[in-house]
Amino acid sequence: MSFQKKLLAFAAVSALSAATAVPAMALENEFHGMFKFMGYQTNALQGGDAKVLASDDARSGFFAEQRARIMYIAKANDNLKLVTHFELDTRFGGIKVTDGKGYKGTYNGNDSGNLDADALTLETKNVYLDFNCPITGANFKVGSQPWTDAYQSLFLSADMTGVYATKKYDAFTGSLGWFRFDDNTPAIAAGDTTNVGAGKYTADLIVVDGKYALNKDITLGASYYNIQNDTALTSATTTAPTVSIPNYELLHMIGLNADMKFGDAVVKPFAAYQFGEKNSTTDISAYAFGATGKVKAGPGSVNFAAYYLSGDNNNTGDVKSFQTVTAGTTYFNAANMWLLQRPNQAINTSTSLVGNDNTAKGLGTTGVFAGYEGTMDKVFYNANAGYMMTNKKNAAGDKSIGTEINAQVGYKLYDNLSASVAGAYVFLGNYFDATAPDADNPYLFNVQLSYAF
Amino acid sequence: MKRSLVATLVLLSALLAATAASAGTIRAYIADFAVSPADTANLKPTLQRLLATRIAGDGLVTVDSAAEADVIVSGSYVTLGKMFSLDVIAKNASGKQVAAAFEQGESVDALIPAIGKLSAKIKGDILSQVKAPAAPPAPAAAQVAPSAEIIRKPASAEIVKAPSAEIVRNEAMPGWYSQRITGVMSGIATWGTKDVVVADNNGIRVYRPGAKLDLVTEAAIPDRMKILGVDAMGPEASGRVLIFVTIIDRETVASRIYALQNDTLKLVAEEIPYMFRALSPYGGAKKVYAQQMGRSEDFYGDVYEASIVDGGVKLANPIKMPRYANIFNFNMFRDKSGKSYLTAFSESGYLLVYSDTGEEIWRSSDKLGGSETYFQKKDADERNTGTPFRTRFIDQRIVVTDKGDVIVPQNSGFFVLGNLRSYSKYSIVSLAWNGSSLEESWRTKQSQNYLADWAYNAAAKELTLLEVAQKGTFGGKGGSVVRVLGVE
Repeated sequence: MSFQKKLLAFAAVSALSAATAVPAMALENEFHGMFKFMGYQTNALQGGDAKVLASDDARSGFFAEQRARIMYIAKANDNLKLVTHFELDTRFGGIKVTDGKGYKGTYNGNDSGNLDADALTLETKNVYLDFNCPITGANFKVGSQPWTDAYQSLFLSADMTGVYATKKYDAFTGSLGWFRFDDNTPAIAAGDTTNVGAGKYTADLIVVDGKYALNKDITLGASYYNIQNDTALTSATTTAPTVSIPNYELLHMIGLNADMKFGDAVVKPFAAYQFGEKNSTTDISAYAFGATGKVKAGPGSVNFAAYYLSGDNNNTGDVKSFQTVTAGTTYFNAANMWLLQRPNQAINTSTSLVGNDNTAKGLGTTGVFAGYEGTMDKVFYNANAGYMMTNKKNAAGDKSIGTEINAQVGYKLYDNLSASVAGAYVFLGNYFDATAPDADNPYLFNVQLSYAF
Repeated sequence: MKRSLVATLVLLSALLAATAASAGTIRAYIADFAVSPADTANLKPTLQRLLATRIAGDGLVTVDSAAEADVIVSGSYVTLGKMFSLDVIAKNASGKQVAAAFEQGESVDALIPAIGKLSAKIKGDILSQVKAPAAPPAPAAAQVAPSAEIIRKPASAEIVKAPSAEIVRNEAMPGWYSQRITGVMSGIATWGTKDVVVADNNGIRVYRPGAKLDLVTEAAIPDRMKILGVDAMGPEASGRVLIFVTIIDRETVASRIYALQNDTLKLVAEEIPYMFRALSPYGGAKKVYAQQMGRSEDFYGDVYEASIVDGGVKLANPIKMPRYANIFNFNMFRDKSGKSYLTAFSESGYLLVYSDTGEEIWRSSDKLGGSETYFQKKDADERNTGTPFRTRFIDQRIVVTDKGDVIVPQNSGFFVLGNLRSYSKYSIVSLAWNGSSLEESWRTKQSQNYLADWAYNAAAKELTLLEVAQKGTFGGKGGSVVRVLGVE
């Protein structure tokens, strides 16, 4: 065979193999995203995570902010995809340089809301591989991914780096996960003889979760979460980090949850018990329980939600306060509040009267919330009321945090675009009397434009 | 100065040369190759590309669509045993054959040389048989008259009629079209007569086609409800037709059954916790199926054959749904040996074939189906998605004919992004199972609308197509059209 012929044959074979390989190599690009604009007229919000103000003569002001998220999924086939998710946060006008009240990417002048924009505001939210194992049939997610507990996010809902495996056996779905949410090991300094490399001082979460669909209307769940935190162990050294997240060394959390539908009502009860070691001398023994639900009524639905987090107001014996990882990674979205709890619709400014700390610095809280929501063609509306109190008295002997009323009405301009206005008002409780005796009741008006695809 | 003059002259001559070259070229479109057996289907684009690159030149250029071509070249690649045969036919714009050629060889090594020879043969024939479209005569050089001297003809008189070869005429879109119905309709069902029932978010309407579609009767549903699908069974001996309307009401299924008798709709049952779909498995008798919606899964458990007994739903003969299949997107067919297969759309829009053990054994290369009808559940992780709503799209019906052919729609369009879908054109595609794959046997001409839903009348061999002629926009209600098209 001459060289030319060989070349031609090679070209033909290459072309044929390329043609044959097309379906297997077919890469599909999938995009999702959202854009939200929020305008606030309020005497209580400071922007970002800084907690809702409860202060005397609080000045009312207007500010606006926006968030865009772009999710790109490189889908090799139905069993393998790479998920990437990015976020761009901006406050209109930008956030003052060195102002610590921003939210993640949007502070220290790093905000494209500044004059002439051009700031580095692209934040990485998630990057993970999502694939189905051909041998075990289990789904694996490996990388920086979102995870939410089975307890309405009262314990933890965050983006974390880890590995999460899920396998379905008929009606049972089991999950096993490991997340490393903190590696606080410092780099080995010159002259350091300890030779401690990455992975020594870490905080890890292990998740074992099971859900069993008893029938189409009832799903029962049980879970075990374990946090092992070695980061605090370095706090005595001079080179080590001084921040310990979370503020305990070992935590076990076991819990039960359910999702039940009875006729027109859906109820989701949950309960969890925590035990472990705050440090070598103090143990943890805490619990939480609650329920959320929805009942069809009239043209809409009645929502209700309540929870109890155990608390402690003395520093003797075991710690009885319900433990989280950080306040900033907890939620209770079913409350449908704007000020008592961080709002589920919030973007950059996402905070509450207790600064998202539903443990109220260990006192523990109880929240009771109810509301009504409905739609009329393209109009949607909701109105809610809620009450929160601490479970242990604060230093001044007070417990009542406050009562909120709020309402929202919106219009679906297109299938994916809605505009709405909302108002919320809180009657402050005596919890703030000691620190801000003449505090004004916080309020906000919100105007929102929300686009998601 | 000299350099720029030379450069200008070079550019001008290049331009003139290009103009002269384009004046006498023949435009050829290389159509898809038909390949057999089916396991060589992946060769289609390769053969098309190889022929296109070799045939071009010497006054012949290849173009991207048949519409702009003077000559359409179509070919086939057949292997029998070790031998292959490449056959190519060229037809002019009026469909007359102008050239034909073939090459054969023994192994794949001989394929590329064979294409080379074949392209030389067919090109020679085309160049000798087809006259290149005449270039418009160059305008005679004229002295520029002062503008005051020019008397302009009215614009209409200046229009030069294009030669017929320049215009590609399409046949009129076949089929019967209704008048425009106000509103974006999402579902349609038929029951063997000419009448149709269509659904939108406000309710259902029964129409009777005549010179136009006449409204016979209608039933409204409350604002909070959304119709996911409409299906019809009957008529019974009494003339009664049962209309199954799958409805989602505040995130739970609350379907309704209406009886249509003497042109009147009567509500037979409501708040039924089943989703319904009427279809003819294996191309046989039409049956109505039901599936439940669960708390943990949108499509919970098996699909059952459903019957209405005393106003209640009685279930029998469960069918296990393989991965991706659900009440709305499945059907079943048999091969010549009687072996049963289940076909369904994947989440990404590919048509799948499952063996009787539930194993996926084939999937289409092209996306098929595609629908804008969806329901939403308020269980999304709002912290991540930015919306509390999780959107789930309902897929298109799959029809199996009595011959075992699988008919599906193919919506396509300029914009399908995440949960934002906006299809803008469609075809109906018929596929036949050849033992290992579903091969396309025919397709309807592409229509410039989104196909919301459709029905197949097996007796009349007619497609009843519900097209959305105008999407609902802010301040506008949109419009829909019913089209009836015979396919045999």
